[in-house]
Amino acid sequence: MNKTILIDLELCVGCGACSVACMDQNDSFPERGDGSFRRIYQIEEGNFPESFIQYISASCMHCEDAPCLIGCPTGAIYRSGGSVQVDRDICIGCHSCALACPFGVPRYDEENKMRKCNLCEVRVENGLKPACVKVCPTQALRFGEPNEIMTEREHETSAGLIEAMRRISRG
Amino acid sequence: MEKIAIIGNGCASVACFKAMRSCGYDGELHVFAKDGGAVYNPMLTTYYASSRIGWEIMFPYGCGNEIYDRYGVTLHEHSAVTALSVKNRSLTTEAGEFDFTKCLIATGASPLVPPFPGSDLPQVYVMRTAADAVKLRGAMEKKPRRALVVGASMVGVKLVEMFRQMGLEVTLADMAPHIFPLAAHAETAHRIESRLEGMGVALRFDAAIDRAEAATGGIRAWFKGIAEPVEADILLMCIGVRANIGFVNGDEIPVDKGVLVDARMEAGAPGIYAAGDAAQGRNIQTGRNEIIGLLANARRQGTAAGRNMAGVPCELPGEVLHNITHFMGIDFIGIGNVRDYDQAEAREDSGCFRQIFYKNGAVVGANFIDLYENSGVFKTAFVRDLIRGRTAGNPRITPVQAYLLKSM
Repeated sequence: MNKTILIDLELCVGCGACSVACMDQNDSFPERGDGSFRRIYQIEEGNFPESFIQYISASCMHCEDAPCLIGCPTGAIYRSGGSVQVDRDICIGCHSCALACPFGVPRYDEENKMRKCNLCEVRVENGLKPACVKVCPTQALRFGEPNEIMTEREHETSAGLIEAMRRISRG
Repeated sequence: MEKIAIIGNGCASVACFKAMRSCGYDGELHVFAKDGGAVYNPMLTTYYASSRIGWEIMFPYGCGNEIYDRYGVTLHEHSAVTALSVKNRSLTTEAGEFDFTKCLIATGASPLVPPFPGSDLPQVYVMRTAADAVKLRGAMEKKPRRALVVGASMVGVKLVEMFRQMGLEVTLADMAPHIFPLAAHAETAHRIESRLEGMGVALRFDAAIDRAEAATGGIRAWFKGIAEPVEADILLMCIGVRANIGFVNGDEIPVDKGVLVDARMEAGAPGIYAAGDAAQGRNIQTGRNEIIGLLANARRQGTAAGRNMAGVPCELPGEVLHNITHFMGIDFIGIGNVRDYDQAEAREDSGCFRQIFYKNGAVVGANFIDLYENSGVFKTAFVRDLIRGRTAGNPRITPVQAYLLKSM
């Protein structure tokens, strides 16, 4: 199975470090309209004291059955292993991918070419983690095979429970 | 040994044979193409005609025959199918009869040109095929100064864009009262029209073409009920397309505007399937079979047909009407039904405009101008709602839609 980025919503605190790291990695310049490929959503519900707040760090999901790829007229959007990539040389800026994407990911640069998360292809090829994953202070973002990450999470949870029980018994 | 006939050589056909091979089908595959050459994408023809892309980009699977070799497909070029017999499991081309076990009808559509006097003049062009694009590109080398585009469709506006970028005087005409008559509400349409006029495009609506005649160096076109003609060097007819299903026997295969298909893309006759612009699949919103001529829809239908033809069950829920067109610096998005509603809301801020249409409290359609960012999220939520049946009598909208309505 291919590696991907998973987010643990319980751990995301909306600090935005991932978004800044993404901009740094991809030479995004807000002053010319480039946003970060990774965006932070803050969803609030209810009123105090019954209020609820959730942060979500989201970027391209590199969908297995990617709607953007299916709707791309030139084949500029293509699959490369576990990621969905864009060949900007043949992107015609038709914006079909914008209406296809269920996550609101595609953005367009000054030349009207689509830009989005490329799963830090160059970093990963060189054995590094994606920039957003590397800087995440709470490890809400992780990079790996989904099953491996879930197993890792279960082990961490079990270890945490055992430690808590030890403390209680020592109590 | 099974023998599959795929009639038509477009994106739906390729999706079908790719799906069949990926499902393990190892029998014969035959594609019957009306013309020669590789699979082009009709959506790219205006880009080629305006020299914005090279020739090879118009062919998403490559300019040559590699795709057929890779998937073990026999391509029959210049083999227009003139008859299809379900009873005899055979089709007819100029070369003779061909027997098959299963068949896909994926013949696409052709531009509709009403037979008005002058419709056959050499200054009258259409835009659908790679050959059409070559022809128009040739015409542009003669440096025309004025263009008349008849049909305020998605193709029509791309041509308007192309002509304006090349410095031509352009008139856009349509018999409908406003631009994008199927996808846009009048209020949204009028905003787009104002911007086009501001960019120097002359507009004529409620104007059905009546006749055309050759004039000095060009063409003169009259519209019904309008005294003043429009003079131009070239005339583009873009009023719509019609499915290429003339060879289909309606007594054997149910047809309407296209071949009627079910969720498996089966065409009401054993072993016969249809996909793409020739197929009339289910509109999830209306519950009726309608042609929804979109590239992604053609590919999904072709894939579903291929899987079923290979014996791997696959059903598609259907599709909704949706369009995005980016032209002259404008993004127009139309989703769902913008006509049959009992409540509408409109908002303009930061230069963007949106209209949401409701019926019985549920969202039934939307128009956006320059608001592409979350349009896909909105459309996805809209389709999921329809599939789950929440629209029927349920006044709620999803949290995602509610969030977007606030944030868009």
